[in-house]
Amino acid sequence: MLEKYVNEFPEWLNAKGKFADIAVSTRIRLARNIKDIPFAYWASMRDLKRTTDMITSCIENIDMLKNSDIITINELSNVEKQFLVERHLISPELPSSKFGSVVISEKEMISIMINEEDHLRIQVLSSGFNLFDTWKILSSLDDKLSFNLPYAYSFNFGYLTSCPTNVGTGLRASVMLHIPGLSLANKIEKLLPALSKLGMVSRGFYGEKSESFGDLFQVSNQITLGKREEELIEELQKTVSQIISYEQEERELLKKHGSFQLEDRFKRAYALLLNAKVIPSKEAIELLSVVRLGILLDLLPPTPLERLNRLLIIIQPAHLQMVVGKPSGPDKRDIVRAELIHKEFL
Amino acid sequence: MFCDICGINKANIHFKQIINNQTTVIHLCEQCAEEKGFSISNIPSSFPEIFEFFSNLFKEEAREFPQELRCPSCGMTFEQFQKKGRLGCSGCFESFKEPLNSILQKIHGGITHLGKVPTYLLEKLPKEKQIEDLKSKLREAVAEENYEEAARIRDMIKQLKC
Ligand SMILES: [Zn+2]
Ligand SMILES: [Zn+2]
Repeated sequence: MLEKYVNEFPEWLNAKGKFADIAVSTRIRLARNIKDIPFAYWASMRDLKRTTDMITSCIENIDMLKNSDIITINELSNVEKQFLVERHLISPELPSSKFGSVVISEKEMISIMINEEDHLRIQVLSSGFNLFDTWKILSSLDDKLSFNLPYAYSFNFGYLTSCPTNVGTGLRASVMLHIPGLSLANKIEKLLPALSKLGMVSRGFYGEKSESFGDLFQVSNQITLGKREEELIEELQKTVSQIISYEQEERELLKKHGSFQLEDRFKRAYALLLNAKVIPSKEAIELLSVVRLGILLDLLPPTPLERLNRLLIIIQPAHLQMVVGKPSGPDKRDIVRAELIHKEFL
Repeated sequence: MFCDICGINKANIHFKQIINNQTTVIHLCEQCAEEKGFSISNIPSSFPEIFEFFSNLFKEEAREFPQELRCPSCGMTFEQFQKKGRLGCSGCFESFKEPLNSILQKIHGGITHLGKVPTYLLEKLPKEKQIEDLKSKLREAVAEENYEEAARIRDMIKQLKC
Protein backbone atom coordinates (compact mmCIF):
# COMPACT_ATOMS: atom_id res chain seq x y z
CA MET A 1 0.00 0.00 0.00
CA LEU A 2 2.84 2.39 0.80
CA GLU A 3 5.25 1.19 -1.90
CA LYS A 4 5.45 4.55 -3.60
CA TYR A 5 6.69 6.18 -0.39
CA VAL A 6 9.62 3.79 -0.16
CA ASN A 7 11.16 5.08 -3.38
CA GLU A 8 10.20 8.73 -3.05
CA PHE A 9 11.45 11.27 -0.60
CA PRO A 10 9.55 14.06 1.11
CA GLU A 11 10.36 17.59 0.06
CA TRP A 12 11.19 18.65 3.62
CA LEU A 13 14.33 16.51 3.50
CA ASN A 14 15.80 18.32 0.49
CA ALA A 15 17.96 20.71 2.58
CA LYS A 16 16.97 23.68 0.42
CA GLY A 17 15.55 25.73 3.31
CA LYS A 18 17.27 28.48 5.27
CA PHE A 19 20.02 27.41 7.70
CA ALA A 20 19.62 23.82 6.50
CA ASP A 21 23.12 23.02 7.78
CA ILE A 22 21.72 23.35 11.31
CA ALA A 23 17.94 23.32 11.00
CA VAL A 24 16.85 20.06 9.37
CA SER A 25 13.16 20.88 9.18
CA THR A 26 10.28 23.01 10.42
CA ARG A 27 6.91 21.64 11.40
CA ILE A 28 3.73 23.33 12.60
CA ARG A 29 0.52 21.59 13.52
CA LEU A 30 -2.97 22.68 14.52
CA ALA A 31 -5.32 20.66 16.70
CA ARG A 32 -8.96 20.98 15.64
CA ASN A 33 -12.25 19.30 16.48
CA ILE A 34 -15.69 19.26 14.92
CA LYS A 35 -18.53 20.90 16.78
CA ASP A 36 -21.11 18.79 18.62
CA ILE A 37 -19.24 15.51 18.23
CA PRO A 38 -17.41 14.05 21.24
CA PHE A 39 -13.61 14.19 21.04
CA ALA A 40 -12.10 11.21 19.26
CA TYR A 41 -11.17 8.89 22.10
CA TRP A 42 -14.51 9.44 23.83
CA ALA A 43 -16.58 9.14 20.66
CA SER A 44 -18.45 6.12 19.38
CA MET A 45 -17.39 4.29 16.26
CA ARG A 46 -20.33 5.84 14.46
CA ASP A 47 -19.15 9.34 15.38
CA LEU A 48 -15.60 8.57 14.31
CA LYS A 49 -16.87 7.41 10.92
CA ARG A 50 -18.90 10.58 10.67
CA THR A 51 -15.93 12.85 11.36
CA THR A 52 -13.90 10.92 8.81
CA ASP A 53 -16.60 11.36 6.17
CA MET A 54 -17.03 15.05 6.93
CA ILE A 55 -13.30 15.73 6.73
CA THR A 56 -12.56 13.65 3.65
CA SER A 57 -15.44 15.19 1.72
CA CYS A 58 -14.11 18.69 2.53
CA ILE A 59 -10.68 17.77 1.30
CA GLU A 60 -11.81 17.06 -2.22
CA ASN A 61 -12.51 20.75 -2.80
CA ILE A 62 -9.17 22.05 -1.59
CA ASP A 63 -6.50 22.71 -4.20
CA MET A 64 -3.56 22.22 -1.87
CA LEU A 65 -4.78 18.71 -1.17
CA LYS A 66 -5.31 17.68 -4.76
CA ASN A 67 -3.90 14.22 -5.45
CA SER A 68 -3.40 13.49 -1.79
CA ASP A 69 -3.67 9.97 -0.39
CA ILE A 70 -6.24 9.07 2.23
CA ILE A 71 -5.04 6.09 4.23
CA THR A 72 -7.08 4.16 6.78
CA ILE A 73 -4.71 3.13 9.53
CA ASN A 74 -6.50 -0.11 10.40
CA GLU A 75 -5.85 -1.38 6.89
CA LEU A 76 -2.08 -1.16 7.32
CA SER A 77 0.32 -3.77 8.64
CA ASN A 78 2.26 -2.98 11.80
CA VAL A 79 5.38 -2.30 9.77
CA GLU A 80 3.49 0.15 7.56
CA LYS A 81 2.09 1.97 10.59
CA GLN A 82 5.58 2.26 12.03
CA PHE A 83 6.83 3.44 8.66
CA LEU A 84 4.44 6.41 8.73
CA VAL A 85 5.53 7.24 12.28
CA GLU A 86 9.20 7.20 11.29
CA ARG A 87 8.34 9.38 8.33
CA HIS A 88 6.77 12.01 10.65
CA LEU A 89 3.44 11.64 8.87
CA ILE A 90 1.53 10.25 11.84
CA SER A 91 2.10 10.24 15.59
CA PRO A 92 2.91 7.02 17.46
CA GLU A 93 -0.55 7.38 19.06
CA LEU A 94 -2.64 7.33 15.89
CA PRO A 95 -2.49 3.53 15.45
CA SER A 96 -4.27 3.09 18.79
CA SER A 97 -7.25 5.12 17.60
CA LYS A 98 -10.33 2.97 16.95
CA PHE A 99 -10.75 4.52 13.54
CA GLY A 100 -7.82 6.67 12.51
CA SER A 101 -6.86 7.87 9.05
CA VAL A 102 -4.28 10.13 7.55
CA VAL A 103 -4.39 12.42 4.55
CA ILE A 104 -1.00 12.91 2.92
CA SER A 105 -0.48 15.58 0.30
CA GLU A 106 1.86 15.42 -2.66
CA LYS A 107 5.53 15.44 -1.67
CA GLU A 108 4.45 14.89 1.93
CA MET A 109 4.25 18.57 2.75
CA ILE A 110 0.86 18.34 4.45
CA SER A 111 -0.51 15.58 6.61
CA ILE A 112 -3.88 15.55 8.34
CA MET A 113 -4.40 12.95 11.02
CA ILE A 114 -8.05 12.12 11.51
CA ASN A 115 -9.32 10.87 14.88
CA GLU A 116 -6.07 10.91 16.76
CA GLU A 117 -6.64 12.60 20.12
CA ASP A 118 -8.47 15.37 18.27
CA HIS A 119 -10.63 14.96 15.18
CA LEU A 120 -8.01 16.78 13.13
CA ARG A 121 -4.30 17.30 13.51
CA ILE A 122 -3.22 19.36 10.54
CA GLN A 123 0.53 19.62 9.96
CA VAL A 124 2.80 21.26 7.44
CA LEU A 125 6.44 20.20 7.16
CA SER A 126 9.12 22.14 5.36
CA SER A 127 12.85 22.19 4.88
CA GLY A 128 15.22 24.23 7.04
CA PHE A 129 14.28 27.05 9.42
CA ASN A 130 11.08 28.31 7.88
CA LEU A 131 8.47 29.14 10.50
CA PHE A 132 6.68 32.06 8.85
CA ASP A 133 6.17 30.50 5.42
CA THR A 134 5.11 27.24 6.98
CA TRP A 135 2.57 29.08 9.12
CA LYS A 136 1.19 30.91 6.09
CA ILE A 137 0.54 27.65 4.29
CA LEU A 138 -0.95 25.98 7.35
CA SER A 139 -3.15 28.91 8.29
CA SER A 140 -4.60 29.24 4.83
CA LEU A 141 -5.30 25.51 4.70
CA ASP A 142 -6.99 25.82 8.09
CA ASP A 143 -9.14 28.69 6.79
CA LYS A 144 -10.20 26.63 3.80
CA LEU A 145 -11.10 23.65 5.95
CA SER A 146 -13.06 25.75 8.43
CA PHE A 147 -15.10 27.26 5.64
CA ASN A 148 -17.01 24.00 5.47
CA LEU A 149 -16.06 22.19 8.66
CA PRO A 150 -17.76 23.62 11.75
CA TYR A 151 -14.88 23.57 14.24
CA ALA A 152 -15.49 23.32 17.98
CA TYR A 153 -14.70 26.85 19.07
CA SER A 154 -15.51 29.24 21.88
CA PHE A 155 -14.83 32.95 21.90
CA ASN A 156 -13.40 32.54 25.35
CA PHE A 157 -11.12 29.53 25.00
CA GLY A 158 -10.60 29.49 21.24
CA TYR A 159 -10.27 26.11 19.53
CA LEU A 160 -11.45 23.41 21.89
CA THR A 161 -9.24 20.34 22.18
CA SER A 162 -9.33 17.12 24.08
CA CYS A 163 -6.19 17.90 26.06
CA PRO A 164 -6.08 21.21 27.98
CA THR A 165 -2.47 21.70 26.91
CA ASN A 166 -3.60 22.35 23.32
CA VAL A 167 -6.60 24.60 23.95
CA GLY A 168 -6.68 28.06 22.37
CA THR A 169 -4.66 28.20 19.20
CA GLY A 170 -4.10 24.43 19.09
CA LEU A 171 -0.74 25.35 17.65
CA ARG A 172 2.53 23.54 18.12
CA ALA A 173 5.44 24.78 16.04
CA SER A 174 8.79 23.07 16.09
CA VAL A 175 12.18 23.21 14.48
CA MET A 176 14.47 20.21 14.24
CA LEU A 177 18.02 21.25 15.05
CA HIS A 178 21.29 19.42 14.59
CA ILE A 179 23.66 21.00 17.12
CA PRO A 180 26.79 18.87 17.44
CA GLY A 181 28.95 21.96 18.02
CA LEU A 182 27.08 22.85 21.19
CA SER A 183 27.20 19.23 22.18
CA LEU A 184 31.00 19.02 21.74
CA ALA A 185 31.33 22.16 23.87
CA ASN A 186 29.16 20.53 26.55
CA LYS A 187 26.64 23.34 26.34
CA ILE A 188 23.49 21.29 25.77
CA GLU A 189 22.94 20.67 29.48
CA LYS A 190 22.75 24.41 30.03
CA LEU A 191 20.66 25.09 26.96
CA LEU A 192 17.78 22.75 27.67
CA PRO A 193 16.76 24.14 31.08
CA ALA A 194 17.06 27.68 29.70
CA LEU A 195 14.59 26.74 26.99
CA SER A 196 11.95 25.65 29.43
CA LYS A 197 12.23 28.99 31.19
CA LEU A 198 11.35 30.64 27.88
CA GLY A 199 8.25 28.50 27.53
CA MET A 200 9.83 26.18 25.00
CA VAL A 201 10.32 22.44 25.10
CA SER A 202 12.91 20.23 23.54
CA ARG A 203 12.59 16.62 22.50
CA GLY A 204 14.75 14.11 20.72
CA PHE A 205 14.36 13.55 17.01
CA TYR A 206 13.39 9.91 17.23
CA GLY A 207 10.08 9.76 19.04
CA GLU A 208 8.54 12.21 21.49
CA LYS A 209 9.63 10.54 24.68
CA SER A 210 12.89 8.95 23.65
CA GLU A 211 16.16 10.49 24.72
CA SER A 212 17.91 12.39 22.01
CA PHE A 213 20.38 10.66 19.72
CA GLY A 214 22.79 12.17 17.27
CA ASP A 215 22.63 15.71 18.70
CA LEU A 216 19.23 16.21 17.10
CA PHE A 217 16.73 18.25 19.07
CA GLN A 218 13.23 19.38 18.31
CA VAL A 219 12.48 22.75 19.89
CA SER A 220 8.84 23.82 20.16
CA ASN A 221 6.45 26.18 21.94
CA GLN A 222 4.79 24.88 25.06
CA ILE A 223 1.79 27.13 25.63
CA THR A 224 -1.10 27.52 23.21
CA LEU A 225 -3.56 29.85 24.94
CA GLY A 226 -3.47 33.58 25.72
CA LYS A 227 -1.24 34.57 22.81
CA ARG A 228 -1.86 35.03 19.12
CA GLU A 229 -0.47 32.43 16.71
CA GLU A 230 1.97 34.95 15.27
CA GLU A 231 3.24 35.81 18.75
CA LEU A 232 3.89 32.16 19.57
CA ILE A 233 5.73 31.71 16.30
CA GLU A 234 7.70 34.92 16.75
CA GLU A 235 8.89 33.76 20.17
CA LEU A 236 10.01 30.42 18.80
CA GLN A 237 11.67 32.20 15.89
CA LYS A 238 13.74 34.28 18.31
CA THR A 239 14.74 31.33 20.46
CA VAL A 240 15.73 29.14 17.53
CA SER A 241 17.67 31.99 15.86
CA GLN A 242 19.62 32.33 19.08
CA ILE A 243 20.43 28.63 19.24
CA ILE A 244 21.47 28.65 15.58
CA SER A 245 23.88 31.53 16.15
CA TYR A 246 25.39 29.76 19.18
CA GLU A 247 25.89 26.66 17.07
CA GLN A 248 27.48 28.73 14.30
CA GLU A 249 29.91 30.24 16.81
CA GLU A 250 30.92 26.80 18.03
CA ARG A 251 31.46 25.61 14.48
CA GLU A 252 33.60 28.67 13.71
CA LEU A 253 35.73 27.88 16.74
CA LEU A 254 36.11 24.29 15.62
CA LYS A 255 37.16 25.44 12.17
CA LYS A 256 39.75 27.85 13.57
CA HIS A 257 41.19 25.74 16.33
CA GLY A 258 40.44 22.31 14.93
CA SER A 259 42.86 19.72 16.25
CA PHE A 260 44.28 16.47 14.96
CA GLN A 261 42.09 14.74 17.49
CA LEU A 262 38.98 16.28 16.03
CA GLU A 263 39.94 15.42 12.48
CA ASP A 264 40.77 11.92 13.59
CA ARG A 265 37.34 11.59 15.10
CA PHE A 266 35.60 12.61 11.88
CA LYS A 267 37.74 10.32 9.75
CA ARG A 268 37.22 7.34 12.01
CA ALA A 269 33.46 7.82 11.99
CA TYR A 270 33.52 8.16 8.22
CA ALA A 271 35.62 5.03 7.81
CA LEU A 272 33.25 3.08 10.03
CA LEU A 273 30.17 4.22 8.12
CA LEU A 274 31.75 3.31 4.81
CA ASN A 275 33.14 -0.05 5.81
CA ALA A 276 31.07 -1.57 8.58
CA LYS A 277 29.08 -4.65 7.59
CA VAL A 278 26.66 -4.55 10.51
CA ILE A 279 25.40 -1.28 12.02
CA PRO A 280 22.76 -1.05 14.75
CA SER A 281 20.40 1.90 14.55
CA LYS A 282 21.75 3.94 17.45
CA GLU A 283 25.34 3.61 16.30
CA ALA A 284 24.40 4.68 12.79
CA ILE A 285 22.67 7.80 14.08
CA GLU A 286 25.62 8.79 16.24
CA LEU A 287 28.11 8.20 13.43
CA LEU A 288 26.00 10.15 10.95
CA SER A 289 25.91 13.08 13.35
CA VAL A 290 29.71 13.18 13.58
CA VAL A 291 30.16 12.71 9.83
CA ARG A 292 27.64 15.42 9.06
CA LEU A 293 29.60 17.92 11.11
CA GLY A 294 32.87 16.79 9.55
CA ILE A 295 31.47 17.34 6.07
CA LEU A 296 30.14 20.80 6.98
CA LEU A 297 33.55 21.76 8.39
CA ASP A 298 35.23 20.60 5.13
CA LEU A 299 37.20 17.96 6.95
CA LEU A 300 35.53 15.13 5.05
CA PRO A 301 34.76 14.68 1.34
CA PRO A 302 31.75 16.80 0.32
CA THR A 303 28.38 15.03 0.34
CA PRO A 304 25.03 16.69 -0.42
CA LEU A 305 23.11 17.53 2.76
CA GLU A 306 19.99 16.12 1.20
CA ARG A 307 21.53 12.66 1.25
CA LEU A 308 22.51 12.98 4.88
CA ASN A 309 18.96 14.08 5.72
CA ARG A 310 17.50 11.13 3.88
CA LEU A 311 19.74 8.76 5.75
CA LEU A 312 18.32 10.01 9.06
CA ILE A 313 14.95 8.69 7.92
CA ILE A 314 15.72 5.57 5.92
CA ILE A 315 17.97 3.85 8.45
CA GLN A 316 15.04 3.42 10.84
CA PRO A 317 13.71 -0.13 11.39
CA ALA A 318 10.37 0.04 9.55
CA HIS A 319 11.94 1.83 6.61
CA LEU A 320 14.55 -0.91 6.30
CA GLN A 321 11.89 -3.54 6.69
CA MET A 322 9.94 -2.04 3.79
CA VAL A 323 13.06 -2.03 1.63
CA VAL A 324 13.84 -5.64 2.44
CA GLY A 325 10.24 -6.60 1.75
CA LYS A 326 9.88 -9.73 3.82
CA PRO A 327 9.87 -9.80 7.60
CA SER A 328 13.37 -9.86 9.05
CA GLY A 329 14.93 -9.69 12.46
CA PRO A 330 17.10 -6.92 13.85
CA ASP A 331 20.32 -8.70 12.80
CA LYS A 332 19.29 -8.74 9.16
CA ARG A 333 18.22 -5.12 9.45
CA ASP A 334 21.63 -4.11 10.77
CA ILE A 335 23.23 -5.65 7.70
CA VAL A 336 20.81 -3.98 5.29
CA ARG A 337 21.33 -0.68 7.11
CA ALA A 338 25.08 -0.91 6.53
CA GLU A 339 24.55 -1.66 2.83
CA LEU A 340 22.16 1.26 2.44
CA ILE A 341 24.59 3.68 4.02
CA HIS A 342 27.41 2.54 1.71
CA LYS A 343 25.17 3.12 -1.30
CA GLU A 344 24.28 6.66 -0.25
CA PHE A 345 27.94 7.60 0.20
CA LEU A 346 29.16 6.10 -3.08
CA MET B 1 -34.29 2.84 31.63
CA PHE B 2 -30.73 4.02 31.17
CA CYS B 3 -27.75 2.28 29.62
CA ASP B 4 -25.74 0.13 32.03
CA ILE B 5 -22.43 1.32 30.65
CA CYS B 6 -22.68 5.05 30.11
CA GLY B 7 -25.65 5.68 32.36
CA ILE B 8 -26.73 8.54 30.13
CA ASN B 9 -28.47 7.29 27.02
CA LYS B 10 -31.72 5.40 27.00
CA ALA B 11 -31.14 1.67 26.82
CA ASN B 12 -32.92 0.07 23.91
CA ILE B 13 -30.92 -3.12 23.57
CA HIS B 14 -31.44 -5.76 26.27
CA PHE B 15 -29.63 -9.02 26.87
CA LYS B 16 -30.75 -11.77 29.19
CA GLN B 17 -28.37 -14.35 30.57
CA ILE B 18 -29.07 -17.32 32.82
CA ILE B 19 -26.24 -18.89 34.77
CA ASN B 20 -26.94 -21.38 37.59
CA ASN B 21 -30.59 -20.39 37.57
CA GLN B 22 -29.68 -16.75 38.13
CA THR B 23 -31.02 -14.35 35.56
CA THR B 24 -29.05 -11.27 34.69
CA VAL B 25 -30.32 -8.62 32.32
CA ILE B 26 -28.07 -6.07 30.69
CA HIS B 27 -29.41 -2.90 29.17
CA LEU B 28 -27.38 -0.98 26.65
CA CYS B 29 -27.77 2.03 24.45
CA GLU B 30 -27.02 1.56 20.77
CA GLN B 31 -23.86 3.58 21.01
CA CYS B 32 -22.30 1.54 23.80
CA ALA B 33 -23.43 -1.73 22.23
CA GLU B 34 -21.72 -0.74 19.05
CA GLU B 35 -18.62 0.39 20.88
CA LYS B 36 -18.30 -2.97 22.62
CA GLY B 37 -18.40 -4.59 19.20
CA PHE B 38 -21.85 -5.86 20.02
CA SER B 39 -24.33 -5.46 17.25
CA ILE B 40 -27.11 -7.96 16.64
CA SER B 41 -25.07 -9.60 13.91
CA ASN B 42 -22.16 -10.67 16.09
CA ILE B 43 -23.77 -11.82 19.30
CA PRO B 44 -21.63 -14.69 20.55
CA SER B 45 -23.48 -17.94 20.32
CA SER B 46 -21.57 -20.41 22.47
CA PHE B 47 -21.77 -20.41 26.22
CA PRO B 48 -18.13 -19.66 27.18
CA GLU B 49 -18.01 -16.79 24.77
CA ILE B 50 -21.19 -15.32 26.16
CA PHE B 51 -19.90 -15.65 29.67
CA GLU B 52 -16.69 -13.89 28.82
CA PHE B 53 -18.56 -11.17 27.05
CA PHE B 54 -20.78 -10.43 30.01
CA SER B 55 -18.04 -10.56 32.57
CA ASN B 56 -16.15 -8.01 30.52
CA LEU B 57 -19.21 -5.81 30.44
CA PHE B 58 -19.50 -5.92 34.20
CA LYS B 59 -15.90 -4.99 34.60
CA GLU B 60 -16.64 -1.93 32.55
CA GLU B 61 -19.71 -1.21 34.59
CA ALA B 62 -17.80 -1.55 37.83
CA ARG B 63 -15.73 1.46 36.91
CA GLU B 64 -16.65 4.26 39.19
CA PHE B 65 -19.03 6.87 37.91
CA PRO B 66 -19.27 9.56 40.55
CA GLN B 67 -22.38 11.63 40.16
CA GLU B 68 -21.10 15.00 41.39
CA LEU B 69 -19.65 16.71 38.35
CA ARG B 70 -20.68 15.24 35.02
CA CYS B 71 -20.81 16.80 31.59
CA PRO B 72 -24.42 16.47 30.40
CA SER B 73 -23.42 16.51 26.72
CA CYS B 74 -21.00 13.59 26.70
CA GLY B 75 -21.33 11.94 30.09
CA MET B 76 -17.74 12.37 31.18
CA THR B 77 -17.24 12.98 34.88
CA PHE B 78 -14.65 15.35 36.21
CA GLU B 79 -12.93 12.45 37.88
CA GLN B 80 -12.61 10.62 34.58
CA PHE B 81 -11.14 13.74 33.07
CA GLN B 82 -8.60 13.95 35.84
CA LYS B 83 -7.59 10.33 35.39
CA LYS B 84 -7.15 10.55 31.63
CA GLY B 85 -6.17 14.18 31.30
CA ARG B 86 -8.47 14.38 28.29
CA LEU B 87 -11.86 16.04 27.97
CA GLY B 88 -14.82 14.29 26.37
CA CYS B 89 -16.44 16.98 24.24
CA SER B 90 -16.67 20.72 23.71
CA GLY B 91 -19.50 20.81 26.26
CA CYS B 92 -17.00 19.76 28.96
CA PHE B 93 -15.52 23.26 28.82
CA GLU B 94 -18.80 24.65 30.09
CA SER B 95 -19.53 21.74 32.46
CA PHE B 96 -16.12 21.89 34.17
CA LYS B 97 -15.65 25.60 33.75
CA GLU B 98 -14.51 26.47 37.27
CA PRO B 99 -11.83 23.84 37.78
CA LEU B 100 -10.77 24.08 34.13
CA ASN B 101 -10.14 27.80 34.36
CA SER B 102 -7.55 27.29 37.02
CA ILE B 103 -6.00 24.34 35.18
CA LEU B 104 -5.70 26.37 31.99
CA GLN B 105 -4.31 29.33 33.88
CA LYS B 106 -1.66 27.07 35.37
CA ILE B 107 -0.68 25.54 32.04
CA HIS B 108 -0.79 28.62 29.82
CA GLY B 109 -0.58 31.60 32.12
CA GLY B 110 -3.70 33.02 30.47
CA ILE B 111 -7.23 31.86 29.77
CA THR B 112 -8.38 34.10 26.94
CA HIS B 113 -7.96 33.07 23.34
CA LEU B 114 -6.54 35.89 21.22
CA GLY B 115 -5.86 33.97 18.04
CA LYS B 116 -7.74 32.95 14.94
CA VAL B 117 -11.47 32.61 14.44
CA PRO B 118 -12.78 29.83 12.19
CA THR B 119 -13.87 31.02 8.75
CA TYR B 120 -17.44 29.80 9.12
CA LEU B 121 -17.87 31.92 12.25
CA LEU B 122 -16.08 34.98 10.90
CA GLU B 123 -18.57 35.20 8.11
CA LYS B 124 -21.51 35.06 10.44
CA LEU B 125 -20.02 37.31 13.04
CA PRO B 126 -20.13 41.05 12.55
CA LYS B 127 -17.19 43.04 13.83
CA GLU B 128 -19.36 44.86 16.35
CA LYS B 129 -20.26 41.57 18.01
CA GLN B 130 -16.63 40.55 18.23
CA ILE B 131 -15.69 43.86 19.79
CA GLU B 132 -18.55 43.60 22.24
CA ASP B 133 -17.38 40.15 23.31
CA LEU B 134 -13.85 41.37 23.75
CA LYS B 135 -14.99 44.34 25.80
CA SER B 136 -16.75 42.09 28.27
CA LYS B 137 -13.61 39.96 28.46
CA LEU B 138 -11.63 43.11 29.09
CA ARG B 139 -13.88 44.08 32.00
CA GLU B 140 -13.44 40.58 33.43
CA ALA B 141 -9.68 40.75 33.14
CA VAL B 142 -9.56 44.12 34.84
CA ALA B 143 -11.84 42.91 37.62
CA GLU B 144 -9.45 39.99 38.14
CA GLU B 145 -6.56 42.45 38.13
CA ASN B 146 -5.06 40.47 35.27
CA TYR B 147 -3.55 43.51 33.59
CA GLU B 148 -1.32 41.65 31.18
CA GLU B 149 -4.35 39.89 29.77
CA ALA B 150 -6.28 43.15 29.74
CA ALA B 151 -3.57 44.86 27.73
CA ARG B 152 -3.64 42.09 25.15
CA ILE B 153 -7.40 42.25 24.79
CA ARG B 154 -7.22 46.02 24.43
CA ASP B 155 -4.76 45.56 21.56
CA MET B 156 -7.12 43.13 19.89
CA ILE B 157 -9.99 45.58 20.12
CA LYS B 158 -7.77 48.22 18.57
CA GLN B 159 -6.90 45.87 15.74
CA LEU B 160 -10.52 45.08 15.05
CA LYS B 161 -11.52 48.72 15.04
CA CYS B 162 -9.08 49.70 12.34
ZN1 LIG C 1 -24.54 3.82 26.69
ZN1 LIG D 1 -18.48 16.68 27.64
